[in-house]
Amino acid sequence: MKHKILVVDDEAEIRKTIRLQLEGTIYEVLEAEDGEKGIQVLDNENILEVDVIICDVRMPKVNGVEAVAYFRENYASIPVIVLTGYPDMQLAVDFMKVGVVDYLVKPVEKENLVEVVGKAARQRTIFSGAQPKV
Amino acid sequence: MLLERTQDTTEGKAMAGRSDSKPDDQGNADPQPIEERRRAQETPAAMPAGGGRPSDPRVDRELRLAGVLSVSPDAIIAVGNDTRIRVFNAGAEKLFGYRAADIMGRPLDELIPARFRAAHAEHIERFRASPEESRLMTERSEILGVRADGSEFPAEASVSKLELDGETILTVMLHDVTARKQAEAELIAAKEQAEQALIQAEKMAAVGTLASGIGHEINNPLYAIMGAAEAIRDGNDLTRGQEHAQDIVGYCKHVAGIIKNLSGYIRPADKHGLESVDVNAAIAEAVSMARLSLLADTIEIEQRLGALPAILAKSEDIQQAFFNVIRNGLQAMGRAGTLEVESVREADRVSVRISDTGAGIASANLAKVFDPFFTTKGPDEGEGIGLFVVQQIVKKYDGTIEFESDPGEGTVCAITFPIREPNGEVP
Repeated sequence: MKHKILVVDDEAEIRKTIRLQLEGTIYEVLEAEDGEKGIQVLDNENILEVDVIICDVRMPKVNGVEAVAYFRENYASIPVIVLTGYPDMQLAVDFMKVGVVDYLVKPVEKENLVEVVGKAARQRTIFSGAQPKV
Repeated sequence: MLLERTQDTTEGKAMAGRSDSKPDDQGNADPQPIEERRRAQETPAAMPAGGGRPSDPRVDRELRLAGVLSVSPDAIIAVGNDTRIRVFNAGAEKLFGYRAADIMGRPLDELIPARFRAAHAEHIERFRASPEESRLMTERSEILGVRADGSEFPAEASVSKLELDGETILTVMLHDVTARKQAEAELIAAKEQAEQALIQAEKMAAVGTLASGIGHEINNPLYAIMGAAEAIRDGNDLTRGQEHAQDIVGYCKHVAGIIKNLSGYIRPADKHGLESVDVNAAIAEAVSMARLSLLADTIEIEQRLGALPAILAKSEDIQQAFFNVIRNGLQAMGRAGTLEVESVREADRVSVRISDTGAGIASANLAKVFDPFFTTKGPDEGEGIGLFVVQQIVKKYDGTIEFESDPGEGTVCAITFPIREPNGEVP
């Protein structure tokens, strides 16, 4: 069984790129096109066990700052990775304070993404007390 | 010593008028306490309280004056009606580089640069005739002195006068302000330098913000390019590889478009390829583009377009300027309101007013609306570059733009462009 990675990003090309970079790994990508959709996925389809969230910052409707705050508050056991085109130190510090696993600035190399996602997935396993799925 | 000098100024001046007064080396020529001496002056016949020798008040005063003159760090010079030098103290010797013995009896003029002598003589005469008793000469103009070696120096000077036996004695006190002037000049230079540095820092800050905004725009397609290239590198399916390559071509075009747009904003005005632009057509285009972005159909857009001659510009620039302002107006109104666009000819200009019934602009923000990346919108609604771009476009075509706003009531943006024939002439 694969780990499920929820990608929250308004740009289709970015969702596609993450999918490409995680292709052939133990990770399966679910997509949400903005923060609101991302929240819906978790709230309404809780049969889906999301293992890691990768979230963009600048998005319509519910932006990344709001979405991540919601995820951390309501789904604290799911590790969050912020992936943004916006290199902003203060923003990075703020995200780290609410406990995101990493703050990655695009473009990110495949190997780097796989490594960070792996780190996040291990956290998920530890904190949820679940048995490793792989 | 200061107290004595202050109290006995009048007497001092009287003495200064005497050409035979000789400065003493010592400032403490008179060992008597002030009170004692005052009594002695008031009652000439009185014997000194503590001394064994008889006291001559005239000699006494002369000695004290000599003391004052000798210790004053300022130059003290006195002249009679003939404006020839009668007193030239140690301070003056040091300042001007003359020995008192050499300059005594010579015209005061010699201490002033030749080019100012005529004006100076006039000043002296006017002062003699005036009812004033003293005057700070630098109140009116800068005083320059000339030393024995011909070098000049800026000085601060005051002059006082005393009528004595039908003669007007003028006493001038000067001090060298070279160091102060230099310090002032250095201060001004430092201030100018600081201002330049500030302007530069602001420019750099703007560039920094711009770079950050550009970074965000470009990092997304760059990431997509990287992902597609990695997929080609790591895959062995030719058809998929070709698809990824095709995607890369698309992403590259996207980046090129962003850079093209941005360099249009940043590059100085390029007036090649100007055409006659129908402003009303540009407004109509901008309105229809803006309508597409409307999520709520509860917003009304009213157009009142008057007959207008053409302006000389690039139509896409003019259209973009109107679009940016209109879009801002629509965003300010949220889900309900009325946007009005009005165009009219005013003398040799085309005038367009775009008004909305939205949230308005706080007065504190009104001055910042053109700053690049200044925005009160959320992160998903704009980069804060829209009005900056409008301002660049308006400037490019010698137009004007102004905002008026009542918070809570709405905002009016007034834009004008000069009417121009295709050859650039004003009709």
